[in-house]
Amino acid sequence: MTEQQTRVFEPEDLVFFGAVTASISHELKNVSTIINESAGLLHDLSLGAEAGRRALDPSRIKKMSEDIARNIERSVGILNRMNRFAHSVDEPRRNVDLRDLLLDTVELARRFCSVHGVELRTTAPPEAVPVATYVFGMHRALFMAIQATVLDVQGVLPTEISLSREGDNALVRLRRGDWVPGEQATARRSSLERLAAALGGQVSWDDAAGRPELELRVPAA
Amino acid sequence: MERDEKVLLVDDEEEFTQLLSERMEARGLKVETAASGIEALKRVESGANYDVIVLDLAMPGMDGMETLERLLKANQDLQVILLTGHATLQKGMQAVRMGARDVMEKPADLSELLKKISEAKLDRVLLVEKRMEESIQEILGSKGW
Repeated sequence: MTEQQTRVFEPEDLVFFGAVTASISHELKNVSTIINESAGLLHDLSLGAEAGRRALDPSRIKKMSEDIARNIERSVGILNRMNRFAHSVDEPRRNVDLRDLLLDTVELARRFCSVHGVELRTTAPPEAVPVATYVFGMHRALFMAIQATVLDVQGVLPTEISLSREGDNALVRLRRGDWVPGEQATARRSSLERLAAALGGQVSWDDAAGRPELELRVPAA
Repeated sequence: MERDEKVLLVDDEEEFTQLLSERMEARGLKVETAASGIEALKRVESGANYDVIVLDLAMPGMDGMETLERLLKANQDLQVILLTGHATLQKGMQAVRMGARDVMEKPADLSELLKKISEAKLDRVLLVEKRMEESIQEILGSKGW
């Protein structure tokens, strides 16, 4: 196996993999619960109609079936994202559009951010931003960057994430609020710096007061 | 059987609370919904009276455990049933130690949930009666009667 293929066995990688799959399972459970209640309500309404208590309202039934279809579509989206994430460890290096990878990571991180009361806002260019990278590692780097803006920043602002192409690099910029110093924040910074370097990129932090930024730069393909 | 339990459903998934509350109301329960722990706490602290609170464990901001702790601080007689996506023995024990009446895994079987709500209401009535009796005894005792 190559060095990059063995990276998936590092403890932090496994912790990340576990955290993401647990989060996905919670999302799927929530959607299944809604579908379960919808099916239950349809059953209740049918029983009521059979017993002559209340006539079935076709427009109500139509809306309910549309809601069930929408939630099934939502669960398929979650499962597709989970499948892409699971396959992100397949190859040590692959050409991908960083826009798709970033948007997938943002969705994977959304529940974590929501639990901490932080909204995510993402902007990406209309044209592709191709990178050749270890997809799982890139997911982890982006997730760690988002995590840093949630755990190491005070305030109620959303995390703003922007992706752009700057020369030979793809640049992901994150801003939220003033960084709060601390041992754990420092440890997170070091981990992210090491990971970015392993991916052939770099991360930089702007601690200036106001709206400080975190920039993750990786070579574009 | 005529039902009249007053229930507060607390979950950030509003589609879920709307569906479940409609099913419960069709069975005679009086149901209010709240989309967050903070909203639930405000209602209880402002004097709203519920027989049972059905509370989601994983919510953004103030989660189910913290909400449970603060609700019981506001009203120690509250009967709270926690709903969780993945019920583990550890979570269940922690919740019961903190004062929850029960923990159920989503999706919860409605007939099972309604049975637990009915039992919870009965226990609450007994608790409230017991406290009233204790207060009366205290007053009578203080007057030497």
